[in-house]
Amino acid sequence: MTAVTEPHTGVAESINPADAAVYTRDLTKVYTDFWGRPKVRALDSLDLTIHRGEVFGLLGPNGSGKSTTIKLLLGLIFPTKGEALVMGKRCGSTEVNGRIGFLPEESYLYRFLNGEETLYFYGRLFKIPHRDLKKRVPLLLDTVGLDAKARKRKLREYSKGMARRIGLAQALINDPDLVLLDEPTTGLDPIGTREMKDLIVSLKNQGKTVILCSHLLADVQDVCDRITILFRGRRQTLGHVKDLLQVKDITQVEAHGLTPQQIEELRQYVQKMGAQAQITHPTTTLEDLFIKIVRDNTGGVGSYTSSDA
Amino acid sequence: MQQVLSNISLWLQSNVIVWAVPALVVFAGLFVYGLRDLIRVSPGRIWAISGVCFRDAIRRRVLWVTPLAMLGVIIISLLQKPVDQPDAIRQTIKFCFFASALVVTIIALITAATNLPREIESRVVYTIVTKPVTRLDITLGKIVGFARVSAAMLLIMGIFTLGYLHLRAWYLGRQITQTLESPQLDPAQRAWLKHFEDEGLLFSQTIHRPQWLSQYAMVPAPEIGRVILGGSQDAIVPFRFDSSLINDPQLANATYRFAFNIPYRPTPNAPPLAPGSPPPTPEIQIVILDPRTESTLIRPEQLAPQQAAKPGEEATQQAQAINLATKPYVEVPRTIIEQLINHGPLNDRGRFLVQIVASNPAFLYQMNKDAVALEVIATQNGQPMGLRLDAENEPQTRGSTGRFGQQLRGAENGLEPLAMFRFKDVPIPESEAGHVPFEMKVGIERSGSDSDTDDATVLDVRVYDRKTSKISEPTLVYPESKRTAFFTLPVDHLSSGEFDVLVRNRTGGSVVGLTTTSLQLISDREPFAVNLFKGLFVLWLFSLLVAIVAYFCSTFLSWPIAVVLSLLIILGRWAAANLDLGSGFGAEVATGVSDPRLANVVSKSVDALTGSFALLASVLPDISGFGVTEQIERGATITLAQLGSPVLVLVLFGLPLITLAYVFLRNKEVAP
Repeated sequence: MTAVTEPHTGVAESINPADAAVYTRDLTKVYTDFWGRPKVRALDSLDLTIHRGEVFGLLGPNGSGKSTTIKLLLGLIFPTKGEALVMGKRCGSTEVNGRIGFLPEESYLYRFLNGEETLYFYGRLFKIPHRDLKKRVPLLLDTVGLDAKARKRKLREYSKGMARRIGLAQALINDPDLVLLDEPTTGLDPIGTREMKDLIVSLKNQGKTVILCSHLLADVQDVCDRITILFRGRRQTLGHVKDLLQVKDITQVEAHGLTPQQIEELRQYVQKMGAQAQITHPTTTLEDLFIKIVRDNTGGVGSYTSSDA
Repeated sequence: MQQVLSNISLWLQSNVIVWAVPALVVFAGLFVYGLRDLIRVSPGRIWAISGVCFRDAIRRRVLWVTPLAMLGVIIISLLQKPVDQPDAIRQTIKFCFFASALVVTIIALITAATNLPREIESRVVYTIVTKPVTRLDITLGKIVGFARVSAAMLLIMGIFTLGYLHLRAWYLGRQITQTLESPQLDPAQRAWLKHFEDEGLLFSQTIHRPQWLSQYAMVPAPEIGRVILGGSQDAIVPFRFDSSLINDPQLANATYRFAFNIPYRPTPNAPPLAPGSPPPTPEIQIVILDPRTESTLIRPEQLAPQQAAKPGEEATQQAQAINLATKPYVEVPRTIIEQLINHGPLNDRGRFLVQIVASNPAFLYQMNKDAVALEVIATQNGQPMGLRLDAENEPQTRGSTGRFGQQLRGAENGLEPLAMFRFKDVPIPESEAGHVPFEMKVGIERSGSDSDTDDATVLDVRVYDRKTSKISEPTLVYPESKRTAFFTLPVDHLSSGEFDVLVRNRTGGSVVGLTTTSLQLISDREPFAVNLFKGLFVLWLFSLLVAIVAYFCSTFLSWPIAVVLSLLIILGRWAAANLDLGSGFGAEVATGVSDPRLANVVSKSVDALTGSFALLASVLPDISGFGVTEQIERGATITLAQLGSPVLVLVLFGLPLITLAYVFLRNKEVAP
């Protein structure tokens, strides 16, 4: 057992690095030129501990080091300094890769294979028996919302949204313990985005760890337990979403079915207490409105992706 | 510098290094560095990766090249102008194999060189390396994938080749049958065509060729030795000089000469001399030849003393015959000794052949083991000192070189020159008929005086069993120029496998050209299709070597550079062997430079460069073992030993490169 102090929050956590889903210390990546001279310090001494079973958000503007962190954790590139353990083992090892699923920011897949062939191919890389694949592949295709017609189409004929879906399916083919999602909602329409977020929550409920790397802050806010914000290769903040976003000197009260008169009385009561009160009707999100309209027109929840191309 | 490079080159080509370096690379790369990955190698993953690699090639429509190649073969074979039907088949086989080799090699090169860089560029590799797949699985999977692509292409080309050849053979066979119906056909041609009608135009047979070919004035015997006939036969004697011949301080002022010990006697039945002409002298001349190409290195006149120059004229040299009766030696200038020491490729310096040309037809010359030696005469402490350097081997006697090889003259003056083909360790097939089939292909020239005669050339062929000392009855063979003649010899005289085939030309005025490939024994036959697919298998091995080299290069280079480097690796050794960049190349390049100091610098620089290139080439793969087209054309069965040679190259060169490709890939950051 090692006592690990979170540098930003100053909170001491008793975490064994082997028990963490991801553990990095002093993780640094410096890109060099042909002659080995330092060119860009993409990641600078990153200390990070991601617990098992949580949904963790990796945020930051372009060039902040998010993708570099993901690439280091996957063994696509090698650290200049520091260490990184994934599920308690050296990152990039085959043992680790057997337990993770990765959805890249774009679906980098063989475009001459169709949806089913793609999943069978990646399934074989995990040495999943053929009889198991025969059950799992249709199930996964259903989960990500690709219908029978779409499964037989070559990936080069897929729309961006369909490509994200098949990319997600290949990331889940091995029933991973850790899922790394790089910009998972890029290219998805609002319903697809909602389904993706639901899926992330569902993965969390199954006890899986999810690392989410995104520019779309609202998506991150909706599903993440904890987040870190990177800027210029350095970690700027780390903590629970609620803690970080909470405005401590404002109190929000939710009430249903108040009449205008009761609302006015409530305002006066708050003013009597010496506080400023602003009472409004909450608005739904545009995402919720869009989903409601589509679902009303399709007769409920269901796949609509056959016409997605 | 040249000597150092030469020594390194020799060391690199020694057997220990040829085996030890690849073994060391494979051991260190796979069994030490990559042991964990080696243990985890999964045939299932390799097959899955190879399957995608194969489908990628299909998607890129590489198989579409094969119908184009087939179309090219059909068009070219329809435009060909063959001499006869067997020639038409030979040419068609050549076109088919050339097209197959070209297509499969180019596709293997491009596919293998571009595969990994394209996957890295398109980032598809992200979704592969993040799976529980080792870089060794990826490397092996790709190589197996390229091998599958090549195999598919060669299978298609092979089936097409077989079908098309059978179609052509059927068509040409009908032509032969029609020709045979003609009553005007001469007997030799009829027999020749009948052979193809009976045996078919597509065949494959196990052939055995003689070790060497010699010529004599008469059958060699202990009491007469090996005798050659002046005017039409000569002898070749191999020598090797090393630098001690000039570097030894005791030999600083030495003189050198070739000394001859050649007994001679008058030719029996020699034509009478013209009245008043001087009596004949037993003369010879010598020419120094390159041992590899037999091209002339030193002409006779270069060994003759310089004639004093008249005012206003350049000094001249004129070839002088060496009179064995009065002065049986010829002096060799020190500069020529130096030239011979430095002649040849770096790893085989100082070798040359002395050709003894017996120039006077009035004599027979006896070529013993000590026919020629180099004598070095020096003084030591004021006392004369002599050294003697013998030849490396016995003289090889042979006929004068003509248009088609060694010339075997027809019987004249009661002498019948004899050509002897030596066969060794030949497995003799069991023959119910008591005879073993032979094939002979010669070129026929006519001597000037008889050029108008149309008499068919007749060869008297006998076989001499060296174990039993029995000689067979003569078999008469009627060859046509540059056409194969088919005949048999009695198995009783061949059964030991150690025998000589003795050939005499019975036709006066006819000169038959012979080489060691002119005669072959047929010991077995097998279906043509089997031989064809053996040939395609060798092509497949070659495409595999090309793919491995190209993939290895692509692990650290961009694909266009990888293609160029792959070509250099594959063709480098072959090119170095064919360019023959010996030590004289620098001097040749510097010929036009007038400033002697600059010429010296240029010459030495070029020699250093060519030496380095030759050194580099010596560690590259030897692709000569992959050439089998000519053998299939000739209908010669590809033996297991011949299949072993390309397999060995693939193992010794391919396995270390696969290991290195894996090591490079494992240390490569695949995210651009």
